Amino acid sequence: MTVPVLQLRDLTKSFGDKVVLDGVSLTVQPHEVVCLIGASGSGKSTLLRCCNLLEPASGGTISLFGVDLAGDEVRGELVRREVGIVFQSFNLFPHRSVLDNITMGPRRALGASKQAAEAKALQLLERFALAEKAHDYPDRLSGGQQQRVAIIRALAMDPRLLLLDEITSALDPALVAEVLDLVRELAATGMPMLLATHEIEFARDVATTIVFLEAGRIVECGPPSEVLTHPKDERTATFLRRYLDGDVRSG
Amino acid sequence: MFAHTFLNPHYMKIALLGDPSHNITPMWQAFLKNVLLCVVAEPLVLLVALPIALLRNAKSPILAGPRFVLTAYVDFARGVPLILIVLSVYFGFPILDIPFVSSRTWFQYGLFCLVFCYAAYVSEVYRAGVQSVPFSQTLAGRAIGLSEFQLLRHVTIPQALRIVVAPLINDFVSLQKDTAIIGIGAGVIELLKAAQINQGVFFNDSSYAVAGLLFLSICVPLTRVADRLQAKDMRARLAGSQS
Ligand SMILES: Nc1ncnc2c1ncn2[C@@H]1O[C@H](COP(=O)(O)OP(=O)(O)OP(=O)(O)O)[C@@H](O)[C@H]1O
Ligand SMILES: [Mg+2]
Repeated sequence: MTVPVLQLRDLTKSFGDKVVLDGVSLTVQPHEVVCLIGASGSGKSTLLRCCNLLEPASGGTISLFGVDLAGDEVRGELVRREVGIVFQSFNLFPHRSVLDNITMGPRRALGASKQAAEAKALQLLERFALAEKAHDYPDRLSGGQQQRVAIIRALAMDPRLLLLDEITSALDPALVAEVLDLVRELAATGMPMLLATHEIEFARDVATTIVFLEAGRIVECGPPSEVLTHPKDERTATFLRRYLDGDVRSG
Repeated sequence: MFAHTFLNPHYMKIALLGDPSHNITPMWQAFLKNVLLCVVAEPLVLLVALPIALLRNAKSPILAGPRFVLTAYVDFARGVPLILIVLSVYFGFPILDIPFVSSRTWFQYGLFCLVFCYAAYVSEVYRAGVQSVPFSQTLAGRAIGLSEFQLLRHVTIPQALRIVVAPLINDFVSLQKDTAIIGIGAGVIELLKAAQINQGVFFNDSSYAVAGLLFLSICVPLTRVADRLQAKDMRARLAGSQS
């Protein structure tokens, strides 16, 4: 067996008295795409942020390629150079051009030269049909373009795992497809991903594993053909019925 | 009558350019002292305020002590009238008999007073600027592996700066006016003193008008620049940048 990209064992997280993650265990294998689904407030964002130490976990273990991240000597910024994350609200740097947004990480965090970082950024922009936006500022771009730039910004770090937190939730329905297509393409190249999404049909399409989260616990976990089509747990079924009824866009 | 007392062209000219027969310092020369004082004080203020703001914003528990001291300092410096600090320094420091402190020039004492007072104000402006950068930007910076220092240097401070320029100019305008207060303690002939001397010799108040105009000649253009920057910033906000 190969070493898992990411392995969570009994992860817990509380904010004060409020328990947000209550013993979560899951594994992301190489080339796997794991989709987290669950109602608002079920802890998806918190779970993702714990994985690259943006939030310190309260208990349990997180290991990345077999290395336990709990040790005092593990520095958050070093973990985040290996594990990229993309947010719901893009969070591009408004004071920097698209190109500078993408090269900041490689140049400052990884110490790449300006030329090398820019060449690579332009190559990525080219690949995802955004080359002509390289010198624009983020506020000149559509939401879909901004989110694709945000994904490229994460990719420019050559991450070994990508975390995506509801990256289409803040987008107009018309712009969702371009972003999801990009993620599909990444999945096809074998990039390991752990993502939270409300797009059930997309999850069915791209996921190797679906994890249904409720109130900080995993209710059900398995391949999409099982969890999404024949849920074993009544709570999963209720959640899916509600979503699939209301889910007009993914069609 | 008003014009004769306050805006008498004859006395205004004498006040501004001096009068050799009465051995009176021209006010434009006296004004150079004010200008020099504020031009040297302002960069020092900007510099000293930065670590104060960063330390007060830092979350680390190790820095709780310095944070407390700095908070007390900022409250004190903002709460006490500058004139009180000026009088205490000019009349107190020389008699303290402390080697370095007690033997400084009027100019150095003046710098100290201005920096002491204004670094507190400016550190608050910096702090507000840094805090107005959304936390999502901090997350985004951390997400690409930046260290906390790099985050400040490349993400937080550049964005805070845009917000902070206009309020900083406003503080600079106040500082410029407050150089007159230094004159009260320092006993040198800067603009306010020169105006008083003039008034005493000619029994005409036009010298005060000249002093006012000289201060305004610096304050008004600066205030206009600040207003314009503020309007520009507001336009940019209203035009909406989504990230
Ligand atoms: N910094 C915080 N302090 C206190 N409580 C928090 C904090 N962050 C999240 N929470 C709480 O943790 C719970 C889970 O939040 P989380 O954002 O992880 O949910 P989510 O599944 O991502 O929801 P959504 O679908 O709305 O994004 C919520 O009840 C939220 O209020
Ligand atoms: Mg969320």
